[in-house]
Amino acid sequence: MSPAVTEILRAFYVENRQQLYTYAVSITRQREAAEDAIHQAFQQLLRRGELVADLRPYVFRCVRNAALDGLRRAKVRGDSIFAREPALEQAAPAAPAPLLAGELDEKLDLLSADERETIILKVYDEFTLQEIADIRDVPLPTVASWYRRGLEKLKSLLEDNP
Amino acid sequence: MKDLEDHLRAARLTRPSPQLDHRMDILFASEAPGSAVPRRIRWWWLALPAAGVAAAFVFLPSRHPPPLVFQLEPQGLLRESLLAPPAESQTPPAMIVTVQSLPSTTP
Repeated sequence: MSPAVTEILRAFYVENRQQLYTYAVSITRQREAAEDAIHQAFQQLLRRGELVADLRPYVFRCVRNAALDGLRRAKVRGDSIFAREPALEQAAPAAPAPLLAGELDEKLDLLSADERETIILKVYDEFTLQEIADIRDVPLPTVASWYRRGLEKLKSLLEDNP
Repeated sequence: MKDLEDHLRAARLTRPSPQLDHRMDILFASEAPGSAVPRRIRWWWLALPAAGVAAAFVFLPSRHPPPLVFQLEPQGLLRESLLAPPAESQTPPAMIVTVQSLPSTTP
């Protein structure tokens, strides 16, 4: 492992931790799962030991993949053939972590996952639509459409029930 | 739409927990140049003794006891036929070797 790579990733984390966290929570809707995804993504990046020139979209894509992997694993774990402990069975499922303070979180939750993710990346993580298209590996018009539709829906929701 | 974007930006976001920073500190420290041994090398170090033992089995010669050599001095007709065989002799002399097992002296 090159010491430079470790230092670059450490500095990147310190500078982008809030944006990475906001993005991860928007996917997992669970704080612990979002933090696990960030940790796992950086662990894999350190293990690889090499970085790409355009680091920011690359790291966000790694966090996204880790978050989706976590969601898939959580679903698989939920299908166990063994009976769960009665105490766990009766426990209420953890409430989704609020992404935003206030009513915006509920409104954002009514958008599709693609629309919500695009708005988060554009507004809070300050990516361009082209960069979001690269992160999501979809054409630019698709991302532009998700963003426009998402904002329109959000505006309508806020006007209907401010 | 610009107003809505500004409205979103003005909203207060939840923050990552101190536990995440702690976990990340540990992660980066384990890979930092100052750490005793980077993680990847530690795995190699675990593999080295196993590889050494395997190599010893393959490459080191087995330690069998040296072979025993018995020297028997020929006597009589055998000695004559070996040292100075007569030119006119047609048939070799009969040679009888009797081997008798001896009790083992090793513990």
